[in-house]
Amino acid sequence: MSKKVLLVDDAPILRLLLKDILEKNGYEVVAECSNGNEAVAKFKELRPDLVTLDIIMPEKTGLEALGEILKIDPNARIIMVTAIEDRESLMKALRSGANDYILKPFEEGRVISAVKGTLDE
Amino acid sequence: MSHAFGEEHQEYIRDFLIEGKEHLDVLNQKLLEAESVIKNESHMSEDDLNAMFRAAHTIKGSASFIGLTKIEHLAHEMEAILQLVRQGKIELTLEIIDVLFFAFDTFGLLFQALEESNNDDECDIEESVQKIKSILSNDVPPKEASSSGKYLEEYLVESNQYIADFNELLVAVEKKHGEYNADQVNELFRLMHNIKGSAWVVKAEKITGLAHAMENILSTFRDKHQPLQPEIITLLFDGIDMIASINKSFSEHAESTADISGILDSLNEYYEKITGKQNDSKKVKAKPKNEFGSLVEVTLSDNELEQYKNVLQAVFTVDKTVMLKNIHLILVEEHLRKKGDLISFKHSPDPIEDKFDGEVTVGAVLGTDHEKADIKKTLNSIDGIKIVSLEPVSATDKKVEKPKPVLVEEVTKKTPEQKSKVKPKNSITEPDASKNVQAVKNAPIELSTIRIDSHKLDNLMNLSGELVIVRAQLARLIHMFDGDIALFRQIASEFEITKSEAKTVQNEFKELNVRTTDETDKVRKVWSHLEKLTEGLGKLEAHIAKNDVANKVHLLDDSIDSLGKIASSIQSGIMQTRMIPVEGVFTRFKRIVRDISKDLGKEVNLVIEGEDTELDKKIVDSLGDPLTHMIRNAIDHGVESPQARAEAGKPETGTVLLRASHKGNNICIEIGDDGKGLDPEKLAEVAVKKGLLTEEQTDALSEKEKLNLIFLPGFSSAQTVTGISGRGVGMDVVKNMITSVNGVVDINSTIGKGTVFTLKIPLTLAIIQVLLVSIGEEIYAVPLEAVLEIIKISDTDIYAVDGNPTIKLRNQVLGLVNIENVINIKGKNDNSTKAKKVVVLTDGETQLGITVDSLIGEEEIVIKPLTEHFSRVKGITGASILGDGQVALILDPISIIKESK
Amino acid sequence: MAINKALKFVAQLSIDKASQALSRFIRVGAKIEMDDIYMADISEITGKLSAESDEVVGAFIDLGGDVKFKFLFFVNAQDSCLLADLILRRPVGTTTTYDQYTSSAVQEIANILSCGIASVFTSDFQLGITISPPTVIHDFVGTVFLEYFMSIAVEQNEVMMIETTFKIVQQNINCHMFIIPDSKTEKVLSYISNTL
Repeated sequence: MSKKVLLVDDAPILRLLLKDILEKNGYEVVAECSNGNEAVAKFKELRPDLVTLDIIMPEKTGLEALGEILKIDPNARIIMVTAIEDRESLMKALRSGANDYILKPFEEGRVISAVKGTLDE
Repeated sequence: MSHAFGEEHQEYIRDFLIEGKEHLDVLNQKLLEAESVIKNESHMSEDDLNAMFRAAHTIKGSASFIGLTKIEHLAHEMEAILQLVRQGKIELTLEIIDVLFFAFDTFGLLFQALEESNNDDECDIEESVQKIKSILSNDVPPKEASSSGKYLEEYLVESNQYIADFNELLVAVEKKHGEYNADQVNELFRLMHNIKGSAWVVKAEKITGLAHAMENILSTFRDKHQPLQPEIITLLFDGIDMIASINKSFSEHAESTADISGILDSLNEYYEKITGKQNDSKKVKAKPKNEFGSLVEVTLSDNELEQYKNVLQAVFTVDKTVMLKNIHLILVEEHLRKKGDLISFKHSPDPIEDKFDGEVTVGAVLGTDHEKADIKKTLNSIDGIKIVSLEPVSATDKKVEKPKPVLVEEVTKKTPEQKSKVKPKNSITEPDASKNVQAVKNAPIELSTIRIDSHKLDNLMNLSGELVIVRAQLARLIHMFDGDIALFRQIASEFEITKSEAKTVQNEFKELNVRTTDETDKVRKVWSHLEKLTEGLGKLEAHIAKNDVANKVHLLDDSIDSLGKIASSIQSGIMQTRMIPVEGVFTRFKRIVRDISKDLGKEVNLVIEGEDTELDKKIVDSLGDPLTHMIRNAIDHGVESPQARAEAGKPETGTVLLRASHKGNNICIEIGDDGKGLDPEKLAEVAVKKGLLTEEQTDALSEKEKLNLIFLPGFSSAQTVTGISGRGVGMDVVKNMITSVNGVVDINSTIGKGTVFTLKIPLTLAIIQVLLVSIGEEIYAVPLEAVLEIIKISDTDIYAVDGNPTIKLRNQVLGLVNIENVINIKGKNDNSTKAKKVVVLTDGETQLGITVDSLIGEEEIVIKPLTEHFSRVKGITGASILGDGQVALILDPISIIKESK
Repeated sequence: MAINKALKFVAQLSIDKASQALSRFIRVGAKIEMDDIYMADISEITGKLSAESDEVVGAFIDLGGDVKFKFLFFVNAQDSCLLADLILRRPVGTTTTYDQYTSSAVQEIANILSCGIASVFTSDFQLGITISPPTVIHDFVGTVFLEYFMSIAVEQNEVMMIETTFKIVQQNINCHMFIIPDSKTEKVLSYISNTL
């Protein structure tokens, strides 16, 4: 069975791009969210194998969502998605339990190896 | 030249003579320059030497072209000698210059003969040639390091650092006598190799020879994994001292006269003894250093090893394509942390710049309950990570070993060459450090430093100071507009009134106009004038509104504010660049303490603290000598012999403390010992005995003042002068050195317990905080650190004691001085009885009041040293230019207090 | 304020950074060229532009913090489809109509561009900058500009305009970027440019 992924990003086009990459590589995107609140709710509901989490989002940022998701499930597998400029937040995210990170703009190879590594494949 | 020259040939000779004379002129001029340069004990520039060589060479070439064999011959000899000078093979001495001048004169004769008779048969060049030949055949000793003048400075800095590191490490090795520590020996070898390498570059052959011999011995021990024997350690110390002394003579631009043969023989003899072969220079090759093993180097105790199922050492690389290397390292670190305790995590290069785009090598030591395969999987799951080695550390090993050499070799090739620096270990401050996990701090460090001539920095510092001053001037200028603004505002408000007056007139006239039905020409005329008036007023109003001076001044004010911020950041930035850690000075005391305690048969442990504390380079440089002296004193006079200590119930090993710390704008350096302490009474006796003071005088002193007697010139408390302390340099010299950098020395001593000298030194010499006061027509700056308090008095408070004005301050007598008397300037004598202000100064012991007319305020000022004319004026240390361009003299409280005594 | 050489340099630096960021993002060489940098009278410029009736997609971003800018990026509505295809790495021409993805594409590009510009100030001049989420509108050029200028402080009647055009390899895409510093920022800029 293919692994379930929850996509969280406020930009539809980036979600679409990531979705394309993931589906092409045999992952199932179970839901897409555009902010942190949605993300936490969807995580609770769907319990996906993996979450890709954008850091800069309206309403609730990726960093906040990261903390909440890890509270729900300390073993949640989470990959942060961010622009190269935002080192500070990325550092915080990794220190507080994110499994890996992908930089925007996405590079297919890097996305897949981050996903595989995080899912222990 | 016996044949007569043809017409055509004569043309050539004329040309040659014209050209040749120019070259001779150059030669003449350069020779004169060379002579004066040598007399001043400096060196000719390479350019000048080249110019001389070229001149001789050209003369030779043209002469050979037209067959002037005598000139050609002589020029050839001259060229040969200049070539040797140019290559640095012989030194240009006055003797050589004399010979060259002689040859030059011979040229002159030859030229003259050619000019007059087209014939040089009469001239004899033999004498000149012989003179030059005798120099060339002279066994001129090869110079050490002179040809490479421009590298010399760099060489010295580098080499001296290696020497200091070597010394430090060798002391550490000696302490753990009998133990073999591969890294230490490796490091010693590496340092010696570097010393050799850099000496080779500047052709310092004596050093290369010595270093080579020492390197061979170290490599033998390294290969045999044997501990260094005390005998060889002493030899190595002797060798490194010799190298240091040769370097010292270089730094004084002197030839080294040191005779190295004795040490070299002992070294070679020793080498033969341990290897059975001769010290053959061709056999030793520089092997690539293993910079890399240090990444996984930690010291662990058995307990720590036992608490984990596995202790793994991993070496891996982060691919250069990874964009955010720093972030990626955090990722790896976090992943490893999830698997156990990360005992050590180091990477090279360290730190990693944001823009670094090479490969990073990481060494990690992990204590974990997971299996090796597990960890391997974790590492492999991370993008861009390539494992180089992953090995368990067995619980019996105390030291985590390096990865297999084969792998190391592979990686070293990839890592760029890096300089590494051995940081002092804390083993002295923490005698039981082996119980702690202690990382050996010798991870390679990428040095990205630029060496800057300190004069350039001084200059920048000065300029930035000027900038601050200009800003203040600007701010003052702006305030000049304050009056204009007020005036302008007044004009604007008066204008308002005028305008409303005009309006009223106009309105009233309108009414009048309505009532007077007969509209005469006159009325019409007045009406039109009135209209013109209001129009004019309207225009004026617009003008006034447009030229809003106040607003513009505000804008200007803003900019000046920002200018001020930038100026002060520049200033503090430049100041930062001048700051270096005291470590460099402190570290060398390890060796000094070792030597002295050995000589005196005392056991002394040197404890160094706060070596990271930063201080102005100039001050750090000037600290070396006074500190050396004080440390020597501490060991020589302070710390007792082991027997005496045992009898006093103290540990046999004495402790000497060297500690630096920040205290506000000052740095405190403490030199302490746990020895017998200073006896104030004894000091007083000695002072009397030496005729420095009378008994009555000493009786009047407090204990503290008695302690301070040791700073008196000519005072030395040692009963017998030993070879170490009694070098003719007394504590008075130490005190002078410290006060010359605006520092203060304080002594605290308890008999039987020990003595602590505390040096309080300002962070920098360039800027001080002062209180600005005005006295008469002058403004003076009083260093704030010397100001105790400011009080108000009236004339009736002043009493005369022994004819000196004094006041009572909280029941204590306080002497008063008039600054104008101290520095001997004429001021108007202010005899008014109005309230005066007194600034109370202190030098740490005595207090003194100076009367001032008014206080201006506190300010940070840049010190401008006074020219020599003023250096003898007592009570003044320098001057500074204030914001308004006025000059303020900076008072020297210490000398003022001294003067008034 | 006067447009001096140094200020032009800062502008060029920003635009170069934006170029690089954009090229990385769409994986196609993109070059943004600075057409002009000038001080413009707001009322004049709005009057001129309101007549233009091309249909465009624009994104506004407020850069805040130590320096404040109003940032506008707009592209011909039809060309925004090309941008979406480039981002999605699909053959150019796949997307034909303006939808949430094309609008998001414009938004992301605006984001990337403004991040690039901000990075000049954050890394090269050590200033703190915050970037607001982009607002996207799809309308006539004139309206977009009107909106843009409306957001500028009323007390300003002159603005510094930095006009650019984009050259994207093999594509003829008509995009523009405008950067307007607010009055306080002009001070900072003149500061920076004076220290260069």
